[in-house]
Amino acid sequence: MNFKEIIKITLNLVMVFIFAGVILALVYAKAEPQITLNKKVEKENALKALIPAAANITSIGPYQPLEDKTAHYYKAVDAKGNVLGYIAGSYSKGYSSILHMLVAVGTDMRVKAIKVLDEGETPGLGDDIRKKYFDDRFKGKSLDQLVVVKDVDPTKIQAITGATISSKACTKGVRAGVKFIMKQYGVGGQTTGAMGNAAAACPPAAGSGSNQPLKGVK
Amino acid sequence: MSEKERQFIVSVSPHVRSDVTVARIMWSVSISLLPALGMGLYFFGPRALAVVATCVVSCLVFEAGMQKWMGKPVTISDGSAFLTGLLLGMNLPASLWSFNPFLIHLPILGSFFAIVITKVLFGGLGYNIFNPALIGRAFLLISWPRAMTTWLKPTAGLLGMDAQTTATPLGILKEDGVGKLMEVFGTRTNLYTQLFLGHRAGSIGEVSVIALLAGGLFLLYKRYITWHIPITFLATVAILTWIFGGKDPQTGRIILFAGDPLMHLLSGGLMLGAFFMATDYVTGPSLRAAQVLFGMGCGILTSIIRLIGGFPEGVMFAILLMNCFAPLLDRVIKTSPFGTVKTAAAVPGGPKA
Amino acid sequence: MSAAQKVSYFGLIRNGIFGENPVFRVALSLCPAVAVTNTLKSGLLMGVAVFFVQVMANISISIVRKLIHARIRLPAYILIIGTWVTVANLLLAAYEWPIYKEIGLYVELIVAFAIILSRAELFASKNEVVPSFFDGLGMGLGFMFALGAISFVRELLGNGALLGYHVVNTHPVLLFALPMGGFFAVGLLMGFFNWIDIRFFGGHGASGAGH
Repeated sequence: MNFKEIIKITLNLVMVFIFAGVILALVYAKAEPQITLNKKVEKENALKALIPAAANITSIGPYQPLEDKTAHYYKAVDAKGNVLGYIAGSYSKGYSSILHMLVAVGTDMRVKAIKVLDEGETPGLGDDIRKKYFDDRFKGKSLDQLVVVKDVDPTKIQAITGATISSKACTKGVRAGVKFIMKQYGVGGQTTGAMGNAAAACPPAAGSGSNQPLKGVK
Repeated sequence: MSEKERQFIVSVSPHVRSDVTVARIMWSVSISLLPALGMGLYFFGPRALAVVATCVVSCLVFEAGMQKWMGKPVTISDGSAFLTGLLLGMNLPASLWSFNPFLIHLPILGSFFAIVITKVLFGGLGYNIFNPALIGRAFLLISWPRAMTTWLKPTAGLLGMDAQTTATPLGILKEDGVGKLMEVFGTRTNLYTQLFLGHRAGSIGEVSVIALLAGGLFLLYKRYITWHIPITFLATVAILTWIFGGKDPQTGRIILFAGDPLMHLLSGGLMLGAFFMATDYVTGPSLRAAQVLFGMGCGILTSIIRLIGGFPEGVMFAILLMNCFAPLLDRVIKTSPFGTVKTAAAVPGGPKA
Repeated sequence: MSAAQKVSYFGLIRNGIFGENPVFRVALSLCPAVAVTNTLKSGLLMGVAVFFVQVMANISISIVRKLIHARIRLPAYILIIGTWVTVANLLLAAYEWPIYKEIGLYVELIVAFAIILSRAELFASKNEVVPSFFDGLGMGLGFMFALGAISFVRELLGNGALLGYHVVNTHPVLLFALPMGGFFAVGLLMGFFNWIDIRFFGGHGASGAGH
């Protein structure tokens, strides 16, 4: 390889780099703000969908629902500043993936709603944890009701047929979130106004108010 | 001596090494399955008969139809399609037949997958890599996991028509542990007896160990199969489940040397798989030492799936996975004889590594 | 060169879709054909992304083909392809966020797709800009067609749906929705297209495809 070739190769590469760089810079400048906006809107929408009445949802801080996994938790207030509930991100190990979910907890420490953000469970079986019919089974449940059973039982979490492991994993993640919020904000409610709101949002569940010891909590 | 043996070993399938014809072997294996089938029909009633008959008929129809369509001679009288259909039917739960005209499609679809995709598209008998009946069952299990794990309660009566469902012993063990199993079966002796006779939930043909053993011994006696694969398969499962099968009911941690090998040997499809499906001539290795390794591989995979996998039963996947290795095992064994240290020079004219 | 004079532009497109279909005949880029075809939507969108990259890469490589030193042509081509892949990825993320979330990971992998580099090396580096454009068009459409066909079969059989709408009201064949169903679908369709080629066009199947 002589000197002339080396120069040509160098110039070739420099030329390609410059053109590629210019194109990428132009596209990036145009696309980047939009991408940031997309990410923000997505997160806000997910949080908002869990507690629709909230006017403002603020992040409070990180915690660790699973080893090596850090999630954030949030507080939801309405326009007057009353606390409506809390939302905790949570992770848990599923059948074939790590589940990532959001758990909304009312001020009465009952689950308001859950949303599975990310999972890689078996399509057609385990991935039913994303579906509304299963997520609705968590509504209004307190920590000691978050137990997976196989039969029809509206006071517990009925497992998805054929996907007990995924159902258990999802419930475990929800438990972690609820437990953390309870630790932070106590078992009771905060203000009566907030209690009223939360009670209206979730249907009364059998066994509410009973002061059972928390069975099955390890 | 070994030089002489080497020349007579036929390692390209099909392995017809005597005057026994393919048809004769296939029909003999089918006959040896009859006691187990009879027990299945006795425990699960007419539904079981309907499932098995559907599988057999549709396997024969698919094989004949494909051969006609491809312009090849129709060879369904050799019994291989019949045997595939019989094994597939015996590997399915009787609940697949529910007297609902829209649900009979599962045995038919399984037969289609077994015959057309696994066997005919690969070139017909002798060219298939995988055991057709097991591929048919794997296809059904993966595609319709709910229907395929709905097990009828054995009712011990030829006309039992009620469709109560329950879990298989291995299913109970996986989901709820040994404690629940004991609760269901009472004592350990009762558990073993029920498993041995076949009074338990499961696939039609896998439940009755005593009938399967009778069929297996018949095949061994007639020398259609050798002991190498079944015995190593069973022994490996027994040893591994004995060592790693014990679990602390409180913490769920493994206690070494506390497993229950007898229960693992008697339950699931182990007997059916070890005697009738792992020993398939086409999809298994043909050299003795390779067969020993094949059986051990099946046993290891079965134990792994049963003890730590997601499925309660692993015989089917173990055999299918080892099917892939069968040609490789034959080759490995052939180039360096098992247990001997020989250089290439010591085997003049031997195949080059 | 000679190929441009002998083959019409329409012929180039037809060649990409049937004669040398990237997936079914040349058997390149099978990874995305298995990985992103569980629904018709993601399969088609992946096809569109590959189509865009293929056309743009073919054009730009054809433009610079005489300037690039033969010794570094492959790194230079990869750089060019990588640029267009990044552009496609950024545009998707900015304007089609839900789709980006579904197939974004695989879009980044387009840079390593054998079909794009192989067309750059075999065609664009030897031909004028216009034939290269049509070759890219044909190959891109062929890839899109293949992914569309595979994902059509998989979504219909695996979910009983098309583009997310339920069309078959029965228990679907779950196997086809799982990753292993991709292998079955690709293999069966490949056999099907070979059969069509042999039966109706007097071809020799995949063994007679390509070069």
